[in-house]
Amino acid sequence: MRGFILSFIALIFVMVTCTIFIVIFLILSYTPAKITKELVVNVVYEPIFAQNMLVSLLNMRNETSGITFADAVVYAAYQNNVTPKIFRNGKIYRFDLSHDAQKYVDYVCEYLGVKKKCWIFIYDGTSRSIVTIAKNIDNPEKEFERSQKEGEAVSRASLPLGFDRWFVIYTRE
Amino acid sequence: MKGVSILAAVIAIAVIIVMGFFAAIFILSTSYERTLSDRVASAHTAINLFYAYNETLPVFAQLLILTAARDLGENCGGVNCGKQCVWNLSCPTLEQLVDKYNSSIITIFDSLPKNVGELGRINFTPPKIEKISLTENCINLTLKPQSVWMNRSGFFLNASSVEEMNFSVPVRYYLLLTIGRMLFEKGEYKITNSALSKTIRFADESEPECSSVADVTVTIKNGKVSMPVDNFTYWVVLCGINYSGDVVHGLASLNDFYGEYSESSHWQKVTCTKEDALEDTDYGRIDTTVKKVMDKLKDILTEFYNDANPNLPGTCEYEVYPGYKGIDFTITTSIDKSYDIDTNQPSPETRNCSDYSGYDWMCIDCKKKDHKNCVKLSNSVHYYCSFEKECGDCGCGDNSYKYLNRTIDIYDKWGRGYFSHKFYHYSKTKGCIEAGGCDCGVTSCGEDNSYKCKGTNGTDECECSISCFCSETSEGCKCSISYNPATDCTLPDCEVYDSCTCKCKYTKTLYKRASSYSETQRWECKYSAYFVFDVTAKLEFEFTDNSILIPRQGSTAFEKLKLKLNAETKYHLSSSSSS
Repeated sequence: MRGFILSFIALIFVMVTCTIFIVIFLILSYTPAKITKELVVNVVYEPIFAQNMLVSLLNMRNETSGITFADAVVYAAYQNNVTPKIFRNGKIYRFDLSHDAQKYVDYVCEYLGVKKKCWIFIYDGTSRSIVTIAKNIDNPEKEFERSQKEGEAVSRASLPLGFDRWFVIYTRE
Repeated sequence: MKGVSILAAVIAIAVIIVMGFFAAIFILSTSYERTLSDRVASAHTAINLFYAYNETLPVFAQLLILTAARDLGENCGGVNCGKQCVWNLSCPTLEQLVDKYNSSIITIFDSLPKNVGELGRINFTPPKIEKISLTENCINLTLKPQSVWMNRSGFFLNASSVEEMNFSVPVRYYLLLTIGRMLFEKGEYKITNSALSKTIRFADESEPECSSVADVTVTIKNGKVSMPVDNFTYWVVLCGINYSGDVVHGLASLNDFYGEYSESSHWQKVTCTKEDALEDTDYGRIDTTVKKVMDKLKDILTEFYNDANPNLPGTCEYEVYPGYKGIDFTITTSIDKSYDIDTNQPSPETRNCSDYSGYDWMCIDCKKKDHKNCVKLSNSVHYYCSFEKECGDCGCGDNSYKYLNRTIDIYDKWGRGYFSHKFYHYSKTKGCIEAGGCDCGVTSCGEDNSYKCKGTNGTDECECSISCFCSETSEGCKCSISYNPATDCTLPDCEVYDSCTCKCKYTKTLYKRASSYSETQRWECKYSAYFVFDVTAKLEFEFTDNSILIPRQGSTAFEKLKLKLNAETKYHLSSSSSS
């Protein structure tokens, strides 16, 4: 009889405990997760770093010719040349895509002393070839391939250029 | 003991449940964070992509508009079909060509990726073309608002550019098409960049074949090109252009269809062909005539469409930079021509046997025998004689020997539109030649004194001893006398009478037959004809817009916008009519 009572009490204890935790679980399930600084910076911000780079880089404009980086990168894909020529206002300008992109990488990817590994390239979907425009590491192709295999967070951004070519940016801490 | 065991088991179960609960909480929480971060990141990516698209779309659209214009300008499928296909009225209309341009642009835009981002989870509305409108100077492209959206487990993102996007690319594709079409098809075309009032008239209005367009004028007034005549290039080549009093004649002005060629030689055979007679006609002027007309047309088009400033109110902005040249026109002409006898014309000449009577004496030999033969057929005459004959003899005072070997061969024929004459003459003659002269001797002098002749010194009769020298002259054997009146005569100053001459005699034959002969030959020919000319003028018009350079895919080279048009016009030219 004593054993039965103890067992019954234990069962009640387990049921009450489970009920309490289930209630807490249900409450937590319908409550938005706490947006912590860590969540925002490390989980949300990092993956879109490359996206921001992409948009801001495209907006860069040459003061002399008025040609934007976006103009140049479309022409580069069309002409299959990273130093495309652009006809504007009766003149032909040569736009050095690598020169401007490298300056951008050197500044943005080492901003405030926090160095990020950056790699900007044009990918040809037809020939599956890569033409590097700017980088701040050696052998970026192997470096980012290794990072992805090891599950490291790699931030990527790509923009279709309409001629089966893509403008791509890879970044990693 | 049993109760303790049960209690321990229950507590163990409870511990496991609690641990499982916390584990579940941890896992779910992490997953939720991850899901949340993924959704936010995706949304951020979508919005970034949206703006990236917005940045690149204008230049992308401009590039596509230009390249489509260039590709269709050079090869519009009907405007320029290469050598096998030339312009004709079954070629596409201007509207059809514009539609073709529109569909090209739409196809290119449709090929853009619709799903982008990680694993294509972001749905992107590719640029949809709302409207394409073409003006002489510009192609205006209106795109529907582009949007991006994603819906993931209740996390929904939808962004749109709200307003339509308008691109205006200064390229004169439509103007070039209009000019090209204008040259081949009757109609009126509004050209807004020319406010000039100009009139082109066809020339050679007095030519019968041009009478139908004698009063036709092509006018450009108030920006509208009016061309009330089908196939402008056909009539321009045929009738020429009269522009501001400057007349350039067309093929209808060619009026020399009669050609004649003749030749003669004493040394060799001669031939007179149809081709030789053709050289005497206007056949050789066909190429230069067409080229001159096309050069003039090129100058006129250049004057019309090379405005220094093409930007008129209401048109899209056109970049006019230093060195701007407007539109260049080049016209390449290639002429295929052939000729034939104009069988609608009568024969230039005909002959009868009596027409050769001037040769009759040549066919008579020294014995007065006539060797002439003349055969007259319906379209030919053959006059012929050939003989070899000798007569007479050669001796002292006798040079009557004649040898003649002669051939006269005339063959003239004719037909409708032509006449051909062939003549051959051969004569070989021999005669007597001098060979030492006759042997002359004095037989008498005066009446009875062989060597003394009587004379007078004016008052008295006297007598002189004379010498007689015989010699052969062209008149035969002659004797000339000589004496000295002071020593040989009985009285001084004696002059013998005129009758006091010597008589000669021939003692032997001094002439003989010719050992050499003379030959005469002559060849003659003549060909005369009326011709007809068949002309196919192959024209290639190339219009180049100098105001813009279009990049070529895969290269940093640029090209200008060009429109090429091929035309082929056929003409049958003769002295009576052209068609």
